[in-house]
Amino acid sequence: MNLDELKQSWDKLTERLEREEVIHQRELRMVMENKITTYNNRIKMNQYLGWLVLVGTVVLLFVQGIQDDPFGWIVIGIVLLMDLFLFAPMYRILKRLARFEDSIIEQEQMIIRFERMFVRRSIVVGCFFACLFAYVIIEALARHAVLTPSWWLWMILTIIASAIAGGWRYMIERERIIEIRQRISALKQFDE
Amino acid sequence: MKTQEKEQQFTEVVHAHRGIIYKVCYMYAPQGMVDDYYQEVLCNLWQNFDQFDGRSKRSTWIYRVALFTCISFVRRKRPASVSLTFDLSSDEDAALRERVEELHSVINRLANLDRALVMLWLDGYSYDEMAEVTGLTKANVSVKLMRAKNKIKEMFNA
Repeated sequence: MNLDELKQSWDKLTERLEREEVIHQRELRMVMENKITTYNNRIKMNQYLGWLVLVGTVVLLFVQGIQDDPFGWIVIGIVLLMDLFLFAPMYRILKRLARFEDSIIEQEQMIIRFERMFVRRSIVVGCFFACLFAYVIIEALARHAVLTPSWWLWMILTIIASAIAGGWRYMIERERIIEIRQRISALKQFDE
Repeated sequence: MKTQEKEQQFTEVVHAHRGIIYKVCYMYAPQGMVDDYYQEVLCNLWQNFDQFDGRSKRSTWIYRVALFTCISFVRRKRPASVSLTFDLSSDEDAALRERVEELHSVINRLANLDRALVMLWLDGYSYDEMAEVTGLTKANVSVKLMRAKNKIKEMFNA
């Protein structure tokens, strides 16, 4: 093959594509809905994952020996309840959005509500981890009085890594929510 | 623009330029992902449809949106897709398919920007239009395109 043959192949492809049928509005609508479903599923997975991380952290705390500290359990219990309180309606919204049974206006309202809940849940989870790190530091100081520089280094690195991981997840989720909102507003235009 | 009017115009525009969209997606998408790329380009075209101000040709604008979408889409994970793109599996397409695969294997070995320039050149765009699509200067387009063609020649000779 040389450049001329390459050009001929290209022209043949162009010619062939000219004969193809046009994309219909129905298909475009399908594309939008499909995109919403894809982002919806990813958000759902991440919400599950967030819940698992939280439960995993509680199990880890139990194994690490805070079982004798009633105050710690009360705090954890409150956080878990708050998280569940936010997680349940978020899950319901995602399920409803995935069915496409509600009107576009309702879907739009739902995704706005979901976004607000998502921000609240992120704040709760963020506060939980902030309290957790504070608790670990206070406990360690109470037990050992003086902590080694390497302990502090590990602690700081863990806090930074957690903050980066959390922030990164937050940004990705937010981007997906925005994508869903954009697709819903595109669908809304179809229905107007 | 009213929605019905927009839909009508959009359908016409996509119909008139479906070849461009498909070719760009085909040249940038990894195997089996052309549908995903095609969908993404359609979504972006739909969302930005009102922003086309007519300063450039419609085909140039579509090329720009398609290229930008495909280049930025490369880094993302694979979403689920509905099948929308063209099927070249019929018997009459067998010979064409072979040529297209060959074409793909050559163009696909070029860097993202070179790939875009070669596609624009194959579609007969002028240096000015290539510069408009890619954001390069005309001189830069000419140099880069020359290098990309030389790379292709080397591939043929290898």
